[in-house]
Amino acid sequence: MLLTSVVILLREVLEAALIISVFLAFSRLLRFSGRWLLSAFVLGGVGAASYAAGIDRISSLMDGIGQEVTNAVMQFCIYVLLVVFIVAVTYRRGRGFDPGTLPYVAVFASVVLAIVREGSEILLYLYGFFYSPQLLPPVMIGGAIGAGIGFSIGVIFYYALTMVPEAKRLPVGMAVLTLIAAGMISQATQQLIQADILASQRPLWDSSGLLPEESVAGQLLYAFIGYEATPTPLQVLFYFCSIFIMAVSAGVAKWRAERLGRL
Amino acid sequence: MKSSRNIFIGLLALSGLHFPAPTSAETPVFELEIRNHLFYPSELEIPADTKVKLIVHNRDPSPEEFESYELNREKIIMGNSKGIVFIGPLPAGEYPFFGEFHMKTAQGKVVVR
Repeated sequence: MLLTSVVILLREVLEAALIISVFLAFSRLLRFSGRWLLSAFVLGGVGAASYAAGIDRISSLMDGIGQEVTNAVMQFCIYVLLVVFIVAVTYRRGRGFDPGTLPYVAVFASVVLAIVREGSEILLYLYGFFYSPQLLPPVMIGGAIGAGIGFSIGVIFYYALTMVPEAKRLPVGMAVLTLIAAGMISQATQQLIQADILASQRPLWDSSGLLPEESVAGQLLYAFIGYEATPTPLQVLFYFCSIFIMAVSAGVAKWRAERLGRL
Repeated sequence: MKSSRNIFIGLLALSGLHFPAPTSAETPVFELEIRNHLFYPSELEIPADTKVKLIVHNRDPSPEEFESYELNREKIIMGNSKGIVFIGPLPAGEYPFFGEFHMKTAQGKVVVR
Protein backbone atom coordinates (compact mmCIF):
# COMPACT_ATOMS: atom_id res chain seq x y z
CA MET A 1 0.00 0.00 0.00
CA LEU A 2 2.87 2.30 0.76
CA LEU A 3 4.50 2.00 -2.66
CA THR A 4 1.22 2.30 -4.52
CA SER A 5 0.35 5.51 -2.74
CA VAL A 6 3.85 6.91 -3.41
CA VAL A 7 3.37 6.40 -7.14
CA ILE A 8 -0.19 7.72 -7.26
CA LEU A 9 0.50 10.90 -5.32
CA LEU A 10 3.71 11.44 -7.26
CA ARG A 11 1.91 11.26 -10.60
CA GLU A 12 -0.92 13.57 -9.67
CA VAL A 13 1.22 16.11 -7.84
CA LEU A 14 3.77 16.13 -10.66
CA GLU A 15 1.29 17.21 -13.30
CA ALA A 16 0.12 20.18 -11.28
CA ALA A 17 3.63 20.95 -9.97
CA LEU A 18 5.07 21.38 -13.46
CA ILE A 19 2.50 23.95 -14.47
CA ILE A 20 2.86 25.79 -11.18
CA SER A 21 6.66 25.92 -11.37
CA VAL A 22 6.59 27.25 -14.94
CA PHE A 23 4.20 29.97 -13.90
CA LEU A 24 6.22 30.81 -10.79
CA ALA A 25 9.29 31.17 -12.96
CA PHE A 26 7.29 33.45 -15.23
CA SER A 27 6.11 35.48 -12.25
CA ARG A 28 9.67 36.26 -11.43
CA LEU A 29 10.46 37.13 -15.00
CA LEU A 30 7.42 39.31 -15.54
CA ARG A 31 7.77 40.81 -12.10
CA PHE A 32 4.39 40.08 -10.71
CA SER A 33 4.25 38.68 -7.22
CA GLY A 34 3.73 34.99 -6.57
CA ARG A 35 0.91 35.77 -4.20
CA TRP A 36 -1.62 34.27 -6.59
CA LEU A 37 -0.34 30.83 -5.66
CA LEU A 38 -1.96 30.66 -2.24
CA SER A 39 -5.40 31.78 -3.44
CA ALA A 40 -5.10 29.46 -6.45
CA PHE A 41 -4.42 26.57 -4.08
CA VAL A 42 -7.39 27.42 -1.89
CA LEU A 43 -9.77 27.86 -4.81
CA GLY A 44 -8.34 24.79 -6.52
CA GLY A 45 -8.76 22.78 -3.35
CA VAL A 46 -12.40 23.79 -3.02
CA GLY A 47 -12.96 22.97 -6.69
CA ALA A 48 -11.24 19.60 -6.32
CA ALA A 49 -13.39 18.71 -3.33
CA SER A 50 -16.55 19.73 -5.20
CA TYR A 51 -15.59 17.75 -8.28
CA ALA A 52 -14.72 14.70 -6.18
CA ALA A 53 -17.96 14.92 -4.24
CA GLY A 54 -20.02 15.19 -7.39
CA ILE A 55 -18.11 12.71 -9.55
CA ASP A 56 -20.83 10.09 -9.46
CA ARG A 57 -23.47 12.50 -10.75
CA ILE A 58 -21.06 14.06 -13.25
CA SER A 59 -20.01 10.66 -14.59
CA SER A 60 -23.57 9.58 -15.26
CA LEU A 61 -24.35 12.72 -17.27
CA MET A 62 -24.52 12.44 -21.04
CA ASP A 63 -25.21 8.69 -21.00
CA GLY A 64 -22.20 7.84 -18.85
CA ILE A 65 -19.51 9.98 -20.47
CA GLY A 66 -19.90 13.09 -18.32
CA GLN A 67 -16.54 12.54 -16.62
CA GLU A 68 -14.61 12.46 -19.88
CA VAL A 69 -16.41 15.51 -21.24
CA THR A 70 -15.79 17.49 -18.05
CA ASN A 71 -12.10 16.55 -18.03
CA ALA A 72 -11.72 17.38 -21.71
CA VAL A 73 -13.40 20.76 -21.22
CA MET A 74 -11.08 21.58 -18.31
CA GLN A 75 -8.00 20.55 -20.28
CA PHE A 76 -9.14 22.52 -23.30
CA CYS A 77 -9.72 25.57 -21.10
CA ILE A 78 -6.16 25.30 -19.77
CA TYR A 79 -4.96 25.20 -23.36
CA VAL A 80 -6.92 28.33 -24.26
CA LEU A 81 -5.70 30.11 -21.11
CA LEU A 82 -2.12 29.27 -22.02
CA VAL A 83 -2.63 30.68 -25.52
CA VAL A 84 -4.13 33.82 -23.98
CA PHE A 85 -1.19 34.07 -21.60
CA ILE A 86 1.44 33.78 -24.31
CA VAL A 87 -0.34 36.14 -26.66
CA ALA A 88 -0.94 38.74 -23.93
CA VAL A 89 2.65 38.64 -22.71
CA THR A 90 4.03 38.84 -26.25
CA TYR A 91 1.74 41.65 -27.27
CA ARG A 92 2.13 43.78 -24.18
CA ARG A 93 5.85 43.42 -23.87
CA GLY A 94 7.25 46.86 -23.88
CA ARG A 95 10.18 48.53 -22.36
CA GLY A 96 8.51 48.58 -18.97
CA PHE A 97 7.58 44.92 -19.19
CA ASP A 98 4.15 45.57 -17.74
CA PRO A 99 2.00 42.62 -18.63
CA GLY A 100 -1.29 43.94 -17.29
CA THR A 101 -3.92 41.81 -15.56
CA LEU A 102 -4.79 39.40 -18.38
CA PRO A 103 -1.72 37.15 -18.05
CA TYR A 104 -2.18 37.18 -14.29
CA VAL A 105 -5.79 35.96 -14.64
CA ALA A 106 -4.76 33.34 -17.20
CA VAL A 107 -2.07 32.01 -14.86
CA PHE A 108 -4.42 31.93 -11.90
CA ALA A 109 -7.23 30.17 -13.77
CA SER A 110 -4.92 27.56 -15.34
CA VAL A 111 -3.42 26.63 -12.00
CA VAL A 112 -6.87 26.40 -10.39
CA LEU A 113 -8.06 24.06 -13.15
CA ALA A 114 -4.93 21.92 -12.90
CA ILE A 115 -5.39 21.62 -9.13
CA VAL A 116 -9.08 20.74 -9.54
CA ARG A 117 -8.20 17.99 -12.01
CA GLU A 118 -5.30 16.41 -10.11
CA GLY A 119 -6.55 17.23 -6.63
CA SER A 120 -9.89 15.52 -7.18
CA GLU A 121 -8.14 12.26 -8.02
CA ILE A 122 -5.99 12.49 -4.93
CA LEU A 123 -9.03 13.20 -2.77
CA LEU A 124 -10.99 10.28 -4.21
CA TYR A 125 -8.03 7.96 -3.72
CA LEU A 126 -7.62 8.98 -0.09
CA TYR A 127 -11.38 8.92 0.54
CA GLY A 128 -11.47 5.24 -0.40
CA PHE A 129 -9.29 4.39 2.59
CA PHE A 130 -11.88 5.55 5.06
CA TYR A 131 -13.43 2.18 4.32
CA SER A 132 -10.25 0.47 5.47
CA PRO A 133 -8.92 2.78 8.16
CA GLN A 134 -6.21 0.35 9.22
CA LEU A 135 -4.54 1.06 5.90
CA LEU A 136 -4.68 4.81 6.34
CA PRO A 137 -1.32 5.40 8.13
CA PRO A 138 0.87 3.70 5.49
CA VAL A 139 -1.20 5.30 2.74
CA MET A 140 -0.75 8.76 4.22
CA ILE A 141 2.98 8.21 4.68
CA GLY A 142 3.37 6.89 1.15
CA GLY A 143 1.24 9.71 -0.15
CA ALA A 144 3.37 12.28 1.65
CA ILE A 145 6.52 10.77 0.17
CA GLY A 146 5.04 10.71 -3.32
CA ALA A 147 3.78 14.27 -3.01
CA GLY A 148 7.19 15.30 -1.72
CA ILE A 149 8.94 13.78 -4.71
CA GLY A 150 6.51 15.45 -7.12
CA PHE A 151 6.98 18.75 -5.34
CA SER A 152 10.78 18.38 -5.47
CA ILE A 153 10.72 17.73 -9.19
CA GLY A 154 8.64 20.88 -9.58
CA VAL A 155 11.22 22.83 -7.57
CA ILE A 156 14.07 21.48 -9.70
CA PHE A 157 12.12 22.45 -12.78
CA TYR A 158 11.58 25.96 -11.42
CA TYR A 159 15.27 26.46 -10.74
CA ALA A 160 16.22 25.01 -14.10
CA LEU A 161 13.97 27.59 -15.76
CA THR A 162 15.35 30.49 -13.71
CA MET A 163 18.88 29.46 -14.57
CA VAL A 164 18.28 30.04 -18.25
CA PRO A 165 20.12 33.24 -19.27
CA GLU A 166 17.94 36.33 -19.07
CA ALA A 167 17.78 36.95 -22.81
CA LYS A 168 16.59 33.43 -23.60
CA ARG A 169 14.31 33.05 -20.61
CA LEU A 170 11.07 34.28 -22.15
CA PRO A 171 11.25 32.24 -25.36
CA VAL A 172 12.32 29.13 -23.42
CA GLY A 173 9.48 29.61 -20.96
CA MET A 174 7.02 30.06 -23.81
CA ALA A 175 8.30 26.93 -25.53
CA VAL A 176 7.83 24.98 -22.30
CA LEU A 177 4.29 26.35 -21.92
CA THR A 178 3.51 25.47 -25.53
CA LEU A 179 4.49 21.85 -24.90
CA ILE A 180 2.46 21.71 -21.71
CA ALA A 181 -0.49 23.19 -23.59
CA ALA A 182 -0.12 20.61 -26.36
CA GLY A 183 -0.04 17.91 -23.68
CA MET A 184 -3.39 19.20 -22.41
CA ILE A 185 -4.88 18.87 -25.90
CA SER A 186 -3.48 15.35 -26.16
CA GLN A 187 -5.12 14.39 -22.88
CA ALA A 188 -8.42 16.01 -23.86
CA THR A 189 -8.36 14.12 -27.16
CA GLN A 190 -7.74 10.87 -25.29
CA GLN A 191 -10.73 11.52 -23.03
CA LEU A 192 -13.02 12.23 -25.97
CA ILE A 193 -11.84 9.09 -27.79
CA GLN A 194 -12.58 7.11 -24.62
CA ALA A 195 -16.06 8.62 -24.57
CA ASP A 196 -16.64 7.68 -28.22
CA ILE A 197 -17.11 11.31 -29.24
CA LEU A 198 -13.98 11.22 -31.37
CA ALA A 199 -13.16 8.29 -33.61
CA SER A 200 -10.99 5.57 -32.13
CA GLN A 201 -8.21 4.42 -34.42
CA ARG A 202 -5.28 2.03 -34.36
CA PRO A 203 -2.21 3.67 -32.85
CA LEU A 204 0.05 5.48 -35.27
CA TRP A 205 3.15 4.12 -33.57
CA ASP A 206 4.16 2.06 -30.56
CA SER A 207 7.21 3.43 -28.80
CA SER A 208 6.69 1.47 -25.62
CA GLY A 209 9.76 -0.61 -26.54
CA LEU A 210 11.86 2.54 -26.56
CA LEU A 211 10.22 4.42 -23.72
CA PRO A 212 7.37 2.75 -21.85
CA GLU A 213 4.74 5.15 -20.56
CA GLU A 214 4.78 3.53 -17.14
CA SER A 215 8.51 4.11 -16.62
CA VAL A 216 9.70 7.05 -14.55
CA ALA A 217 11.04 8.86 -17.61
CA GLY A 218 7.82 8.07 -19.46
CA GLN A 219 5.70 9.55 -16.68
CA LEU A 220 7.89 12.66 -16.53
CA LEU A 221 7.57 13.17 -20.27
CA TYR A 222 3.84 12.51 -20.07
CA ALA A 223 3.40 15.22 -17.46
CA PHE A 224 5.69 17.61 -19.30
CA ILE A 225 4.96 17.25 -23.02
CA GLY A 226 2.05 14.82 -23.07
CA TYR A 227 4.15 11.85 -24.25
CA GLU A 228 2.11 8.90 -25.42
CA ALA A 229 3.60 5.51 -26.32
CA THR A 230 0.66 4.57 -28.54
CA PRO A 231 -1.06 7.69 -29.84
CA THR A 232 -3.74 7.51 -32.49
CA PRO A 233 -3.36 9.56 -35.69
CA LEU A 234 -6.05 11.94 -34.43
CA GLN A 235 -4.18 12.57 -31.19
CA VAL A 236 -0.98 13.30 -33.08
CA LEU A 237 -2.82 15.59 -35.48
CA PHE A 238 -4.49 17.61 -32.71
CA TYR A 239 -1.23 17.77 -30.76
CA PHE A 240 0.72 19.34 -33.61
CA CYS A 241 -2.20 21.54 -34.63
CA SER A 242 -2.30 22.92 -31.09
CA ILE A 243 1.39 23.79 -31.30
CA PHE A 244 0.83 25.33 -34.71
CA ILE A 245 -2.07 27.45 -33.48
CA MET A 246 -0.04 28.58 -30.47
CA ALA A 247 2.94 29.51 -32.65
CA VAL A 248 0.80 31.40 -35.14
CA SER A 249 -1.02 33.29 -32.38
CA ALA A 250 2.26 34.27 -30.73
CA GLY A 251 3.68 35.22 -34.10
CA VAL A 252 0.74 37.48 -34.89
CA ALA A 253 0.98 39.09 -31.44
CA LYS A 254 4.66 39.73 -31.93
CA TRP A 255 4.10 41.23 -35.38
CA ARG A 256 1.37 43.55 -34.07
CA ALA A 257 3.52 44.59 -31.12
CA GLU A 258 6.43 45.37 -33.46
CA ARG A 259 4.19 47.43 -35.67
CA LEU A 260 3.13 49.43 -32.64
CA GLY A 261 6.79 50.04 -31.92
CA ARG A 262 6.76 48.22 -28.64
CA LEU A 263 9.40 45.70 -29.53
CA MET B 1 -1.53 28.14 -49.48
CA LYS B 2 -2.57 28.78 -45.93
CA SER B 3 -6.33 28.62 -46.57
CA SER B 4 -6.28 25.27 -48.36
CA ARG B 5 -4.08 23.86 -45.62
CA ASN B 6 -6.61 25.03 -43.04
CA ILE B 7 -9.44 23.41 -44.99
CA PHE B 8 -7.48 20.18 -45.15
CA ILE B 9 -6.87 20.20 -41.41
CA GLY B 10 -10.50 21.01 -40.79
CA LEU B 11 -11.70 18.13 -42.97
CA LEU B 12 -9.32 15.73 -41.24
CA ALA B 13 -10.57 16.82 -37.86
CA LEU B 14 -14.20 16.57 -38.92
CA SER B 15 -13.63 13.04 -40.15
CA GLY B 16 -12.67 12.16 -36.60
CA LEU B 17 -15.83 13.54 -35.12
CA HIS B 18 -18.90 11.43 -34.87
CA PHE B 19 -21.63 11.19 -32.34
CA PRO B 20 -22.30 7.96 -30.44
CA ALA B 21 -25.23 5.93 -31.78
CA PRO B 22 -28.27 6.12 -29.50
CA THR B 23 -28.54 2.33 -29.48
CA SER B 24 -25.56 0.04 -29.12
CA ALA B 25 -26.89 -2.24 -31.82
CA GLU B 26 -23.53 -2.27 -33.56
CA THR B 27 -21.24 -1.93 -30.56
CA PRO B 28 -20.84 -5.13 -28.54
CA VAL B 29 -21.08 -4.67 -24.80
CA PHE B 30 -18.80 -6.39 -22.28
CA GLU B 31 -18.91 -6.20 -18.52
CA LEU B 32 -16.29 -6.22 -15.81
CA GLU B 33 -16.70 -6.32 -12.06
CA ILE B 34 -14.55 -4.99 -9.29
CA ARG B 35 -14.96 -6.85 -6.03
CA ASN B 36 -12.58 -6.66 -3.09
CA HIS B 37 -10.15 -4.73 -5.31
CA LEU B 38 -10.04 -7.57 -7.85
CA PHE B 39 -11.28 -7.68 -11.42
CA TYR B 40 -13.79 -10.31 -12.47
CA PRO B 41 -13.03 -11.68 -14.99
CA SER B 42 -9.33 -10.90 -14.87
CA GLU B 43 -9.04 -11.85 -18.52
CA LEU B 44 -11.57 -10.42 -20.90
CA GLU B 45 -11.68 -11.63 -24.46
CA ILE B 46 -12.92 -9.28 -27.18
CA PRO B 47 -12.95 -9.53 -30.97
CA ALA B 48 -10.17 -7.90 -32.98
CA ASP B 49 -10.68 -4.68 -34.94
CA THR B 50 -13.99 -4.05 -33.20
CA LYS B 51 -15.03 -1.10 -31.09
CA VAL B 52 -16.39 -2.41 -27.82
CA LYS B 53 -18.35 -0.82 -24.98
CA LEU B 54 -17.00 -1.89 -21.63
CA ILE B 55 -19.17 -1.46 -18.53
CA VAL B 56 -17.18 -1.66 -15.32
CA HIS B 57 -19.24 -2.34 -12.19
CA ASN B 58 -17.52 -1.28 -8.99
CA ARG B 59 -19.09 -3.47 -6.30
CA ASP B 60 -16.71 -2.16 -3.64
CA PRO B 61 -17.74 0.74 -1.41
CA SER B 62 -14.54 2.64 -2.25
CA PRO B 63 -13.74 4.36 -5.57
CA GLU B 64 -11.41 2.79 -8.11
CA GLU B 65 -9.73 4.11 -11.22
CA PHE B 66 -9.84 1.82 -14.23
CA GLU B 67 -6.62 2.49 -16.11
CA SER B 68 -4.48 1.03 -18.87
CA TYR B 69 -1.41 2.40 -20.64
CA GLU B 70 -1.71 -0.04 -23.52
CA LEU B 71 -5.39 0.73 -24.07
CA ASN B 72 -4.92 4.42 -23.29
CA ARG B 73 -7.89 4.60 -20.96
CA GLU B 74 -8.48 6.00 -17.51
CA LYS B 75 -11.72 6.50 -15.63
CA ILE B 76 -12.66 6.98 -12.01
CA ILE B 77 -15.57 4.84 -10.85
CA MET B 78 -17.17 5.60 -7.50
CA GLY B 79 -18.08 2.87 -5.04
CA ASN B 80 -21.24 0.94 -5.86
CA SER B 81 -21.37 2.55 -9.28
CA LYS B 82 -20.57 1.70 -12.82
CA GLY B 83 -18.54 3.36 -15.51
CA ILE B 84 -18.57 3.12 -19.29
CA VAL B 85 -15.38 3.00 -21.32
CA PHE B 86 -15.07 2.48 -25.07
CA ILE B 87 -12.19 0.30 -26.23
CA GLY B 88 -10.87 -0.60 -29.65
CA PRO B 89 -10.73 -1.23 -32.55
CA LEU B 90 -7.58 -3.11 -31.59
CA PRO B 91 -5.25 -5.51 -33.37
CA ALA B 92 -4.86 -8.98 -31.85
CA GLY B 93 -2.81 -9.10 -28.68
CA GLU B 94 -2.92 -8.70 -24.93
CA TYR B 95 -3.60 -5.37 -23.26
CA PRO B 96 -3.15 -5.20 -19.49
CA PHE B 97 -5.28 -2.94 -17.32
CA PHE B 98 -5.28 -2.20 -13.62
CA GLY B 99 -7.11 -0.40 -10.86
CA GLU B 100 -4.85 2.52 -10.10
CA PHE B 101 -6.04 2.90 -6.54
CA HIS B 102 -5.31 -0.73 -5.67
CA MET B 103 -2.63 -1.66 -8.18
CA LYS B 104 -1.28 -4.64 -6.30
CA THR B 105 -4.41 -6.71 -6.60
CA ALA B 106 -6.63 -5.07 -9.19
CA GLN B 107 -5.04 -6.32 -12.39
CA GLY B 108 -6.36 -7.85 -15.54
CA LYS B 109 -5.94 -7.93 -19.26
CA VAL B 110 -7.97 -7.63 -22.38
CA VAL B 111 -7.19 -10.44 -24.79
CA VAL B 112 -7.98 -9.50 -28.36
CA ARG B 113 -8.41 -12.36 -30.85
